[in-house]
Amino acid sequence: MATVAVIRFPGSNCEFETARVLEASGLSSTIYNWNEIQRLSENRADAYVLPGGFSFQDRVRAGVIASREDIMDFIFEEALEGKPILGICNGAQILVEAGLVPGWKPGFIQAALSDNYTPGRSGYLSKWVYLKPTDNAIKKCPWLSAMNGEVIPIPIAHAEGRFVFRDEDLEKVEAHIGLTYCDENGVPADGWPVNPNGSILNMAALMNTEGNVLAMMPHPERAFHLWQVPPVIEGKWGEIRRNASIKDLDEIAGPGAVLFQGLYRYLEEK
Amino acid sequence: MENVKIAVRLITPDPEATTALNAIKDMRLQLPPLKLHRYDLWQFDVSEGGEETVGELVNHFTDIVNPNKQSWSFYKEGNSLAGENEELKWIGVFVTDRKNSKSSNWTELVRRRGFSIESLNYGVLWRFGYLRDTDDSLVEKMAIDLAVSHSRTGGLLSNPVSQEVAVWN
Repeated sequence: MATVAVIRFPGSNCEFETARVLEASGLSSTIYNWNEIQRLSENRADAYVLPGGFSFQDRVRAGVIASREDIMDFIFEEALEGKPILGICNGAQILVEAGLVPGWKPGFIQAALSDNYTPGRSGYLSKWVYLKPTDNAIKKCPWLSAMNGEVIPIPIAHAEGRFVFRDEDLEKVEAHIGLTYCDENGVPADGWPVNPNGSILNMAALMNTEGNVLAMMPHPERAFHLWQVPPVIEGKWGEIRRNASIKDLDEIAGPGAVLFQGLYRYLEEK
Repeated sequence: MENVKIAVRLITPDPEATTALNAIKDMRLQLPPLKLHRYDLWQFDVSEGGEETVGELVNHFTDIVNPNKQSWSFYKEGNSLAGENEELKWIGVFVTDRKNSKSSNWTELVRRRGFSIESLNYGVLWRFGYLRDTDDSLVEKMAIDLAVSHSRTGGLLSNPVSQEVAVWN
């Protein structure tokens, strides 16, 4: 069975549910503390997840202290080997601060996840958003490879989720978009509520050049089961949820499951 | 119009500054700072009343200064700040977001409450304490190097993609 390591930093708070959804997707998952490099290097996994939370209490800048930890040297090596790496929310912030995404020059900081900022609205935000993958991401990124281009609702919960790039890099950015914010019909729109944090190009997930490293702000593990989807949301998934029986709620996968199914298939094929 | 700055710091040791200093020590620099202090730095462009208006504002908004856990003082470049050991050479680096949601939100809030503030700018002032006899230009260079994160292993306190830094002596 393919193995996935979930890396827990001080302040991570989504490691258990992340490990659980990986298991439910047919993968073997193990949680490793940030200081268990020896144990991890003796049990190299097939893929890695940096879960959400507030590593090191977001001190200095979200994700930056974790990005300097020695375990990130290990993750760095594994990423350069081509292994799939997923950073969710705070995990995404760590990957950005580690220079693993966009990765034009790995290890160098070429993006930022800055404070949410849309006209009239800023600060911490917790809500369901709609996401759409790019064709490029479906082809290149193991985590998004099972998506068929359909719109999926997934929740966000962050204060620093606005992707920012240097002006001179903007032309290169489009090829690195993994997921974009859109409405329930797949139509992108700048600004609240479709783009909840003011992210450039409506970007919700950023991948590296090879596509094996994905930094995403939304939490797919919080949309893994149908019962996690609120019945009041618009679109196809809201309808599925409203029409579901109690039995369906336990049995039907939610919209976030597709990321983990994609990884499963990718690792199985390998 | 008068520009008034205040520096706000925790009364107790600041865990954020401690974490940052530990991360800097892990960089194994030849000449790391001996001390690192962190301040919330608020700059107010005041149309009337200068420091008096800012003093009233600070007393009014406990989200700017919570007197139970923070202390504050007016900040003037060149002056030392409370808690700074005079045996060290201190240099400040001011870090602020290019697109600063906290500043714009607070500007609106403060104006709505009737304070004569034209604009407000929030950032973080990091003050490095180096050995007293360290050369001034070297101190400035080292502070900037630590302030700007160009890579995983170099710099720490700001992300140059979204933030700006300025040296404040």
